[in-house]
Amino acid sequence: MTVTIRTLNELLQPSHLPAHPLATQEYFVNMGPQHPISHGSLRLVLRLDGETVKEVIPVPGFVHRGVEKMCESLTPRQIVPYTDRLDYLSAFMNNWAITRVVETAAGIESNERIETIRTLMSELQRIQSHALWWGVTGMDLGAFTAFLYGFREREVISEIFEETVGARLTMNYIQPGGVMYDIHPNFVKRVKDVMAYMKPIIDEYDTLLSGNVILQERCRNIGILSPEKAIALGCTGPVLRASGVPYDLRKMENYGVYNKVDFNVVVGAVGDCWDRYYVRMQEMRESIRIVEQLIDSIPEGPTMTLRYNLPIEMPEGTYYSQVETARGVFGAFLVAEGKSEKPYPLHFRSPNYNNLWSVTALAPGWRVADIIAILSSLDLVIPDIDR
Amino acid sequence: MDSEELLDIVERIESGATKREKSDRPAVHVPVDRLLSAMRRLRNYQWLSFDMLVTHTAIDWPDDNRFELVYLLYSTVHGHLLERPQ
Repeated sequence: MTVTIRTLNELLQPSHLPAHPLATQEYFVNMGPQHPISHGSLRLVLRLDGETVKEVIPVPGFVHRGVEKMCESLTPRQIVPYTDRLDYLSAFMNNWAITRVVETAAGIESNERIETIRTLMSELQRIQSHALWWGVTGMDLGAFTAFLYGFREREVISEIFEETVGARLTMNYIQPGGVMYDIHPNFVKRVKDVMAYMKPIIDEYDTLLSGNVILQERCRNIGILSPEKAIALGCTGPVLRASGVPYDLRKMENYGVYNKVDFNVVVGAVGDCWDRYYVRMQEMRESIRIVEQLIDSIPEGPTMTLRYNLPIEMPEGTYYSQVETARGVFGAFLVAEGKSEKPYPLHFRSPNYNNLWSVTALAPGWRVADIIAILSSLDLVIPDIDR
Repeated sequence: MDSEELLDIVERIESGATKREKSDRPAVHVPVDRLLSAMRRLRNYQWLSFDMLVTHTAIDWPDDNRFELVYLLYSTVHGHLLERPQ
């Protein structure tokens, strides 16, 4: 499967203008960089024929901060809070990716307690992220009530994070050698209460929005992404799984305590906006199952195996580790020279970057209004793309 | 298939490929002039089927006056990962 992506300059060449004097004039519309659907600063250039989208060219980079370059002058512990600011709705999981690569490189041991806490926090955040996405999708498609409901559930889980971590968004929690703080004494009880609260809430989400005829009309059979194209574009996470590819690192990579819990990898059948919607709905239920299996059996033990004032020595070599975030595979590729604690260089593989480019394959042939549903179904976080 | 078997197959089908030491994942070096042919073989050979480009990046080696391009490939068919700097 070959996917051709043209640059903006190529798109604007005269050969794409109509030759016949009576031909319909195509025109270009900028969607973004300030547009409600972009959920951040993202510019999409649409080539249109009337209301029909002929081509979409994403133009990212408006929130590029040079994070990877900055990391070259930071120690591993200093890098962790930078990963919070990439996909800020998967902050724990981003922390975990850089932590895993550093632990692999430096041969740092973890323990069952640390891995269980990391897994629990990640799954709580996956539920929180998907709940927020659900609310935002509702708003994108005209249902404002869903937006308020999504934020309501996000708040409940944020309070659990705040109690243990002291932060609600940028966590800086999972560190090489362990986690920054032990869980709060109320953690287990609060998590159980929230899980008991969340299970009927997801059913309520289905009652409120999933069966809504407008949502169904705007999502079903719209923006179909074939498995071949999804793989060729490097899509991961719910976007890839909705196309029927059962690719989930929680099952395929040996990390955390995922091998000790029973959960299903949710896949779609068609690869349309609806499948991307419903895969996330089911993933919330699966994450609740994971949390419920772990919450009563958090082992005892230290939550940090390293002394904070000791440097982390990484032998010369290349290292790559990845985790499954709420949006797909987030990886960290690190080159160590063996002379310094600092990486040379560090590259992040972000799920949103690859998922963004699927819009080039999804959008042609659909109407402008369908772009809203398509983009919403991709659940993009722009700072993770631009880095 | 373990890492050694994987690397043996890659070396067998791509004559310019050599195993890369000091990597935590199976990794091979390929000369830049063999890039396209190597990529095609890695994708098309049925025991490899590297159909997904997970990510690619570059390492700047100013002392050697060169860039090293790094491709991370994954096979959704077999479930193996290959780091292929060249």
